[in-house]
Parts: sequence; structure tokens; C-alpha cells
Amino acid sequence: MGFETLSGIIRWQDIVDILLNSYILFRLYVLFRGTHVIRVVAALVLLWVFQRVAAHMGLIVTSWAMQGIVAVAALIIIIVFRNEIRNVLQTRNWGAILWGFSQKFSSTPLDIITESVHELSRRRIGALIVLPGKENLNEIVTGGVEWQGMISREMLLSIFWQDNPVHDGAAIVQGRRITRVGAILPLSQRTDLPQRFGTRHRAAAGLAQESDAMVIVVSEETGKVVVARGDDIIDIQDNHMLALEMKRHLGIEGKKAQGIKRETLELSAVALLCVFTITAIWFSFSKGIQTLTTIQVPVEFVNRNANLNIFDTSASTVELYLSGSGALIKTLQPAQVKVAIDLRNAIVGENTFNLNGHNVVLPPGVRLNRIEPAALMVTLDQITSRKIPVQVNWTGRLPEGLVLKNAVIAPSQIKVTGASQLLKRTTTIYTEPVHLDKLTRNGRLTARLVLESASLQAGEDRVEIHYTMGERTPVP
Amino acid sequence: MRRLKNHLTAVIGLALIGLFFCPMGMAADAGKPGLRLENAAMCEAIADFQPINPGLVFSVNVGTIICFTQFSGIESEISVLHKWHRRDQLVTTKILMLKTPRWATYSSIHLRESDRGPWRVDIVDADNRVFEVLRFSVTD
Repeated sequence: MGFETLSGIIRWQDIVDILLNSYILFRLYVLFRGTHVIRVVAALVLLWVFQRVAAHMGLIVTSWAMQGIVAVAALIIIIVFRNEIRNVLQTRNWGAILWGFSQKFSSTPLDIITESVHELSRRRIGALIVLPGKENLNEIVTGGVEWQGMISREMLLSIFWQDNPVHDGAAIVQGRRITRVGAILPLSQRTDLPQRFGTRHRAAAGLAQESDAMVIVVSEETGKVVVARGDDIIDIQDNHMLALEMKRHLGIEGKKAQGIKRETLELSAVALLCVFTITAIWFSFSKGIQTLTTIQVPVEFVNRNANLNIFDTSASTVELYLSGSGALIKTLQPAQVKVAIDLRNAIVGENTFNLNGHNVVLPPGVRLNRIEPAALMVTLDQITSRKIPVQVNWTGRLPEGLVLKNAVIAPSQIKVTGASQLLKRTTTIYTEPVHLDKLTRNGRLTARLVLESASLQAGEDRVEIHYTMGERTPVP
Repeated sequence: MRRLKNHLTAVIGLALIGLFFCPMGMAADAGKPGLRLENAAMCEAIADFQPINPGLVFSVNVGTIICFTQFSGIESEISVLHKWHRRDQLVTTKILMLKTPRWATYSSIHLRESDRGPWRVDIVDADNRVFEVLRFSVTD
């Protein structure tokens, strides 16, 4: 396929479109990798695929139920992962969000923690040390004392010394600092935990279950060390194993160079996958089977001079003949399509506007083939006032032998306000039908005025009529 | 002498009739200096150069209605127009010649069942300047 052929299918805007969305998808992965969000999003994508398959196979209820879940997926993600989302947005600067890569080379002094845990275990001092992951623990962990003290072996030992008031709580370690001591962790409700596990173990398991943190527990009774991470409870046999678990948790297992290489490979693969996914989505949306449709769209008139009113239009809606991929045409909403006529240069009287693509706003990927009518006539007018004579609309039959000789109408003229073209055509304001049958010889009556158009406004709504009758002369 | 008296009575009578019709006729000047519309009325018939049963309402059963006009101050032979409108729509235009120095003339239309409604006749000169507008209704 030559470049010319390709350029006939894909515009430069399409390439920008694909690359931009691929990058957004890639950034989302980078920001949320390692958290539960990615897993849930993957599950939702899978659900969406199932829904499409179910719809294709004609499984009505399955398709309907999955469609419902997918429809509220965005809401579910925001509610369930509000902590993760807030964490990403709050704890990072714009540079980190838009193009930064989180470093996996932790500054946490693992050797100090390993030595301290070993010493705590040897002395059978109970301890609970939390190494947070990416998730914010503020809403899960309660109580305790804010500290921000530099970590050291002596410090850790003194925190969990049994005469220390905060020794029963957990110490939270972030980087090189102990940020909080005496923290209260949520207790696990699991029933499959060993009987020997006390409150300290249950607290460790509880936090590990509810977050991506890793918790190190030193048993006061036995001096045994266990690590809780996710749903796993791992017995630690020696310092090496503990260091390995911490490295695994912090993502720095293996040699540094190998870690960089592995991470680069992983990100490259994900970037390619993002481009592939977005390209596939783009093609399915914009270059599927071409479908034709016709929709009727109301015409909007914009930039009208405030002194001019639209008096008449040859049509208020136009028919658009559109084409595009089946998916796009199927999901096309009337609100996405607009037809606008710019009245900036319109003048009083009749204006003819030829309609073309410039008048039509369409969603990307949908093409305009034809507009009917191809031209629209718009009559603009100014609001003016004029005095117009009033005429009585007599109806019925005069009493026998009488002639209506004269009728004086007060007022004889009415000030009428409206579009100047309409006023120009209106030469008489008629009253409502006035019945002759009950008229006496001379008299007075009132009658309402009837305006020909609702856009006209009269200064008076009724007139008084003084009439005079006379005897009828036989016609020779 | 007696004949002169009869003539005088007739002239005074005509003048009185002219005065009687004056509010309805509202004699007006159009474009020509001296040309005056002395009398204008809608009527059912004309006898002795005078409108019979002038009025504002005519039954469709009368068959014919007439627009009677009488001009004075005519300096040369000119034409005037009677433009008949039904509900502001022009139905017909009648061109009528006026002769010096004073002239009465009329136009008429035959009424049909569908002619019920408000009417008017614009009495204008050749340049479309209005002498008067007569408004009336055709009813049952």
C-alpha cells in the first residue's frame, strides 16, 4: 500500500488522534500499574468483550446485564478507587503525571529494617512494621502519632520496647523515615488464619487485604517473623528471605541493571499494546463498513443583528445525507449534529444562503454527502410601529327594513407594533365578527380586535362603535 | 318663475343630500388642484344620480352593490379608479372617466355567496393618490 493510498484512508489528524489516545492509555497504565485499578479495568474490558459476543450471539439478558455493568463502569472505578486516583493526582506533580516514570529504586534502608526485625525477633519483642505500596493509607489506618523520624535500628527497637506507650501499634515506614507510630490497623475477618495468630497478626492481615501495603509482624510469644501482603501470609525463615520479600514488594528485586532492562521492556511492550489497541478501536469506529443515513436537523441561526428579527424561513429543518462506519452511524445522536447559518451579513428582507459543509458540524469520522434543501431563504425584519385603520367585521342579517347608515369607530386607528414587512402588508385591523341581528336603531357597542398574526401587538385590544340605522328605501 | 323655484328646490335638495353624506364621504383632495370628491357612498342602486340606501352593510341577496362617487372642480377629462378589496385582497379595479366640470360616476360588482366578509373600495386617482376609502361588509 503506497503512501498515497494510505493518505486516502488516514489523514494526519487521524494519526495524531491515534498517537494521542495511545499515549493517554499508556500514561494511565504507568500511573496505576501495580494497583488494583489496572486489574479491574482489564476485567471491565473483558466484560465488554463478553457483552459484544453475547450481543452478537443474541443472548439478550446476558448482553443487557453486561451492558449495564459496563455503562456504570466509570462510576464504579471512580468510587472504588477514589483513594488510588486521589493518590496519583495529589502526590505527583504535573510532570510526573504527564511524562514521568516512577522510580522503583527505593530509598528505604532495607538492611536497617532487616537487622532491626532480626533483633526484635531475637529479643521476642512484638512488632508491626508497615511498608506502604502506592495506595494512600490515610483512610485505612487510624490513630497513632505523626512522627517523621529518620529510621535507625535503635529507633525501631525503642518504638516496640514494651514500656513505650506506642509499642502496641504499627510503625509506618516511608522511604528513610518512620512517618507514624502507634497506628491502628484494621483487623482481618478471615477465618482461615492459624489459631496461634493474635491481634497483631490479624491487624497485619487486615491492612494487607485492604491495601497494597506489606506488613512485617514479629511475634511477642514466639519471636517468629511473618510478612502479610495481599491475601498471603508468609513465614520468614531468615534475614535474606525478609530482604527478598521487601525487595519484591518495593519492586527492586534482582540486580539494578536487570531491573531497568526488564522495566524498559515491559513499558515498551505496553506502549506497543496501547498503540495497537487504540488503532484497532480507531479503525473499528471510523473505517468500518460504510453506512449511509439521513437525519433531519433543525437549523440554528447565529450572529443575528439584535435589531433584526427572523420573520420567515423557507425551511426550519434540513435533511442531511451522511455516511460513515456502521458503529459511528449507529451511535450518532441528533445532538452531535448541528446546522448553523451565520446571519452576520444578512440584510432586511429576503436573504438566500447556500448550504454546504461549512454550515454543518458533524462528529469526527462522519461525512456529509448532501444537504436538502441546498439553499435556505431567510427573511429578516425590523420591529416598527404604525397606525392602521380599524374596520368592523359585520356579520349576520340586519333587522327587516333597516339600513346601517353610519358607524363611528373610536379609536378609528390603532397603533400596531410588529415586523415592518408584516406591517406593510397589514392595511386593516378587523374587529371580531359583530352580529347585526340584535342591533337597535341607534346604539353603541364594543368589539375586540383580531390581529392577523400573533407576532403583531396592538396598542388597544377593543374599540367602541357608535352606529346609526335608517329606514330602508324600496329599490325601484 | 315657478320652474326656477323648482330648480332651486332641486339644487338645495342636492346640496342637503351632499351635506348628509359628508361624514361618510369625507370629500378629499387628491393630487389635482381643484379636483374634489364631493360625495362617495356604497349603495344598492342609483336613482336620479343619487345613491339609494347608502350604508355599511349589504346582504349578499341584493345581488349588486355600487360604489357611487361624485367629483367637482374637474378641469379636464381625467380618470379615477375604484379598487375593490375583499379582506385586503384586491378583487377588481374599475377605471372611470370624469368630465368637466362636475361628474358623478359609479362602479359595481355582482355579489356571490362566497363574497361575505369585510370589503373596502379605495377611490384613487391615476397616480394612486387616495381620495377616500369606503369600508363595508357583505353579510347574509
